[in-house]
Amino acid sequence: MNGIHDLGGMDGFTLPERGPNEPSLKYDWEALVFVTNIALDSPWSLDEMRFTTESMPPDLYISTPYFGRWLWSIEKLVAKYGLATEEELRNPDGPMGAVEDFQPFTRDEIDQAIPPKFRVGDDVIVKNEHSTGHTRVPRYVRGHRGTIDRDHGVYDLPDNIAHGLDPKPQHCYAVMFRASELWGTRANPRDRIYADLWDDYLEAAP
Amino acid sequence: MAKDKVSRREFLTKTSLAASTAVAGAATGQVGAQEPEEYVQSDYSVRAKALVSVLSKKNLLDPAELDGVVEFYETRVGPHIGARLVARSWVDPEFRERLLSDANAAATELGIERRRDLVAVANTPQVHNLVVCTLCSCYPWFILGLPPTWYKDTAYRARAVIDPRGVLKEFGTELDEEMEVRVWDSTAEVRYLVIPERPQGTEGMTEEQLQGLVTRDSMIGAEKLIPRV
Repeated sequence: MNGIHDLGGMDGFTLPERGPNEPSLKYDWEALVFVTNIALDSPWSLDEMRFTTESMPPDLYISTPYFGRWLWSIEKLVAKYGLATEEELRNPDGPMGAVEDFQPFTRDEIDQAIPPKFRVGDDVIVKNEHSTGHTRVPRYVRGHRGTIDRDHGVYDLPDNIAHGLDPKPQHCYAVMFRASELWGTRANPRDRIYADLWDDYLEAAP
Repeated sequence: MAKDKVSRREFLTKTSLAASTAVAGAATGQVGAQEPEEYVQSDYSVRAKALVSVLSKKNLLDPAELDGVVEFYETRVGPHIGARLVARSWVDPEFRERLLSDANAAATELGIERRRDLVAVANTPQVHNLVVCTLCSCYPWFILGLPPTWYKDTAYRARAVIDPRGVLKEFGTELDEEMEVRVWDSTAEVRYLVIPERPQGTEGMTEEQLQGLVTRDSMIGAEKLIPRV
């Protein structure tokens, strides 16, 4: 989706200080959210969790601290999959209902023998598609011309995994974009930006 | 630091008790008397504790496991792992070649466990690499540990791809105009490790001493390692 999470290239933000060793988990509640995400054998995929976060209202997304976004997403998914109700989360010492049966999310083995559409050195254009669902092609590369720099191999398509569709495994490549291609005269013409993009996101350049 | 760890351990294992206390505290209106920042943090604290408490009661989480998970991510994995790859590449040019062409195999050579596919990109006098995840915060935690807060910040995610030189300058590194900057946006399953240049003045050092020089931020590309002269 063309969500607020798709931040690449946006202006107006103030970079925080780069402390030498500030902790990643600063508050204890952040540690709780972090471990819950790791330890819970969830029925949802990481891709679906990402999409849930992407679906936060833009103003809430921007004003919520990083682990607060995880917390919001886990609360939503827990309710969606019947692990707990919003009422139960509000009253943790109140009555608890039974958990609906669910299957923990698992991934199938991926067939690495699936052939690639492109080869290193090929010029490609990123499709100008604007899905309303989950995707990992950022807006700032769509419609732009790049060159296949590496073939990373075969991976499930996140656009499908996030929505419980057929995994559609395919090649994923590091695609090199000239900075001036993406940003015009603002860029240093020597610079390059690489994004990892799946076959389905790309078409051959004319 | 040890004191902090002990208090966090108590926090995690006493969560179900704390949940009801926290909710009761909020209900009596005590929260309103706090500073805005404290209120926000206590609100998240209430919700996080409630989540863990409810999931534990439903046997979906085992509170006794939680400490072990935090300890693993805060101490067992960390930049000391990535530093081994970097230091070896400095002393062994053939290893460096292997690292740059197949970082997965190179990590296996050093007995490093991966959770994702890894690609190593080398800084040179002509090229400086910087890693970001514009869409969320993907990070090679299995070789660098947990990501710094600035890496996950919306500002870094927005600016790294359009103004990497500005970001680096604010972070304390100014690059020559003639250099080439390469920004790697971790949009998929591959994770990137920057191999910083070996600092000058380290010729006599052992591999282990060299490991000690490599910083987390240099392996993201946010800084260069300072010369030892």
